[in-house]
Amino acid sequence: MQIKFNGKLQEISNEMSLQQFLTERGIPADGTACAVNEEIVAKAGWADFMLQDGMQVDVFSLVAGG
Amino acid sequence: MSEPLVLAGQEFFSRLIIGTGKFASADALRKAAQASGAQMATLAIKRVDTRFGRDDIVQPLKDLGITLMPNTSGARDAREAVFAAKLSREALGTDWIKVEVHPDQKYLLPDPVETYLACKELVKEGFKVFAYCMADPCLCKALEEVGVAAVMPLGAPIGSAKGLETLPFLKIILKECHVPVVVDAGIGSPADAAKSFELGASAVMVNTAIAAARDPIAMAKAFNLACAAGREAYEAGLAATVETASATSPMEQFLSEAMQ
Repeated sequence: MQIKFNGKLQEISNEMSLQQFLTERGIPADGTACAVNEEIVAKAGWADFMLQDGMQVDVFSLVAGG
Repeated sequence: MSEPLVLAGQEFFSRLIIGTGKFASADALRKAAQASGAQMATLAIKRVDTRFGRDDIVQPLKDLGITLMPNTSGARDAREAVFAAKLSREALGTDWIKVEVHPDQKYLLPDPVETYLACKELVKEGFKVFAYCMADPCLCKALEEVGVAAVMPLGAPIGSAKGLETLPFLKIILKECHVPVVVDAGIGSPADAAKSFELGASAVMVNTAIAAARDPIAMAKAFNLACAAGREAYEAGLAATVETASATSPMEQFLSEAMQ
């Protein structure tokens, strides 16, 4: 199935949770926020949130700024 | 010792808030932050680019005891600002947010209507809202009424280093607003910061003037000193200005008498 991750389509072979998806991409929970289909998913819910074909996953972190 | 600054119930002994953008490296930022004496710094939130490692600036600033306040920079309307605030809360675990809404990329001027709407919504949702806005006294009063923790009127466009170009309006805001007023954006020199405090600002926010200085660490120290001096001058009470001379030495005509 396909996931749109930060604006780019990615193919994933297996069913997986949001937590697994992020872990595979080396994204730590600390300092990170994640939205699926433009709805924020709290960290506590990442493990139970199963990704489905066509979902849009956006991951954000804090960067320098004024 | 000057009076501490209280923002959203938290006490600060430095009245300088620094922005973390434009520094050459995370290490340069950390050293400048330390030299500035600032106890609060702003950050932005952006989509992760997994091609590059993270430049972790959060932990080094936390280690310095600096309170971190995310901003909504990049938001073009209220809806995006509210979304960015919620993302920041999730990422950093803070309900403090500097609301910035600037649809125009050339001057980065804050949209007053969208800023107001975002602030109103975020206050309702329990955020401690710091509103970056035009130096518009009516807008600042309206933001005060919806319950922002502070207003942050600009001195000049972000990063312009032009100083307090909005001075006449800042003076009205400082006189009329009851929430803390943080003079933000455009501050180009320590003198601008000191002037802001002499006029009664609660705090100033500085980024480019430090980060883009030839020696950012030394400039951070200069801002530290200027902020302290400006605030102490305000608390000491400036002498009144008068139109005519007022002698500082005795004016007896000793010279003409001695010549007789």
